[in-house]
Amino acid sequence: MNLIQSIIVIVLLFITPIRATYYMLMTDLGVSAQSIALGNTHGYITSSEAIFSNPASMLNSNDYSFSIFSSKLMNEIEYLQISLSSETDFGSFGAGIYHQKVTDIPATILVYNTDRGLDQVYQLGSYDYKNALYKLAYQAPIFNQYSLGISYNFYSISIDTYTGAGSNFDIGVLIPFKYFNLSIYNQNIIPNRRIHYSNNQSELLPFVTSTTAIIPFYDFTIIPQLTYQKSQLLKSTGLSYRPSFLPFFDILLGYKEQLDYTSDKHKKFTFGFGLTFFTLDVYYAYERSDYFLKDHNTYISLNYQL
Amino acid sequence: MKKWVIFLVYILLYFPANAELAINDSNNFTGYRHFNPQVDIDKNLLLISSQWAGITLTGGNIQGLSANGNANQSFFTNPPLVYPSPFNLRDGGTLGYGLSRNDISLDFRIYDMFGYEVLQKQFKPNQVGGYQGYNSVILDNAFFNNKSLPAGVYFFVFLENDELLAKGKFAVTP
Repeated sequence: MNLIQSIIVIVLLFITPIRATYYMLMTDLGVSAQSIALGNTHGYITSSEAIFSNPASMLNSNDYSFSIFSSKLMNEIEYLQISLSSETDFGSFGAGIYHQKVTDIPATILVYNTDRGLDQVYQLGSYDYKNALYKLAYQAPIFNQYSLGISYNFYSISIDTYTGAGSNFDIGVLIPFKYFNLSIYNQNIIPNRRIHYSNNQSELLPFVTSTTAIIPFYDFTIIPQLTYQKSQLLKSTGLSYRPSFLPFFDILLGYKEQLDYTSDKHKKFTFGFGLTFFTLDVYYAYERSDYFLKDHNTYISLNYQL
Repeated sequence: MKKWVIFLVYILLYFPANAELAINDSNNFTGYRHFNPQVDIDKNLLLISSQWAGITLTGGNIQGLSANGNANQSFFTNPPLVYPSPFNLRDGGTLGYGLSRNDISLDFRIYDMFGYEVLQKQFKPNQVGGYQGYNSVILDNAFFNNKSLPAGVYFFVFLENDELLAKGKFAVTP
């Protein structure tokens, strides 16, 4: 780590509250199968799902783009991402929703058992958990070479009768160099913005910054990334291989360091592939699961570009 | 003819009354008996109103009383459930379940919504969480090793020698 990186880290340590309870960003799972297979790296994705990643990378998207991503983790948690983007004379615009849902959570009552002289917990019906992120994004070229993207995030969460909401902005740039492109992506840039809940409690929206290099090398693209999140540095790397003799086929590999809900760091390898059928891209991603009852997680996403 | 009508009315009124609730020695509903097993009425019981152990319940579907849901019935006499639901760490919660034995160690694991294991505990025999009978484990900051727990749904499993005994989920609010 050089001097400049050290200074940045020290400054961020001072501006980021360490003991706060943070709202958990569900997009940390990954915004598409392609993104997950590439170790959750930013700046490489060009379709409309880029609005949930670095919006500056919409620079490379087609006139119209549609993306859908779905997965069910542990047979319990439904993830769904739907996004649209369009390129105009004034820049690219995008909109989308990222949704997370769990159903049939037991609602419980406490009943005093007179025979045993203690309270026992019983189920009395059930309720659902829903979490949604709504995005509006805009991308435009600046200084002829660079791409700037900005997105508005609206967070909405409901747990039984409790509700919460909040908003913030993301900003990203894509800077071309001679041998590589540099992506800088900052999430929740307005400090101390919170999700406010109906029980008068709140959770802090975490500031996250990711710096990614996108390095083409023959048929390969190497994507190293450094992320600073909740006072921790996380390393990720993606590798995409598109053989010149099979230009419709991608092999994707990834390594990621990721924080769980309690901010503990986990390391994971990912694998996937992509197929292009004319204007339709299909991506598949695979990763091992920690969950006792599931050996692995799989993800599928579709991109349609015109 | 009149006798037949009276007989049919009697049948209609009498037999549904034969579908009765079964309770255990703790006055907990454990199942119900139906007069005609050929007819599928295996649905959740709808509780209209009940005076039970000094507490009056009104309305709602009673679930998980006639069976142990996601728990191994030979080991769990009461399925693991968290109260209140959802709960917050400031006030804490209770994980309650009944065990029929106290001769094995329970491996308890909690997972977050990314599928990562965020907590692992051992409930040893005749210690908190491993008593024969009903166990009430306090879910507070100490239980979670003073880690903050963001709002969300968490999933747990009870294992013994890598064999699943029970599973469940609970929600957390800030």
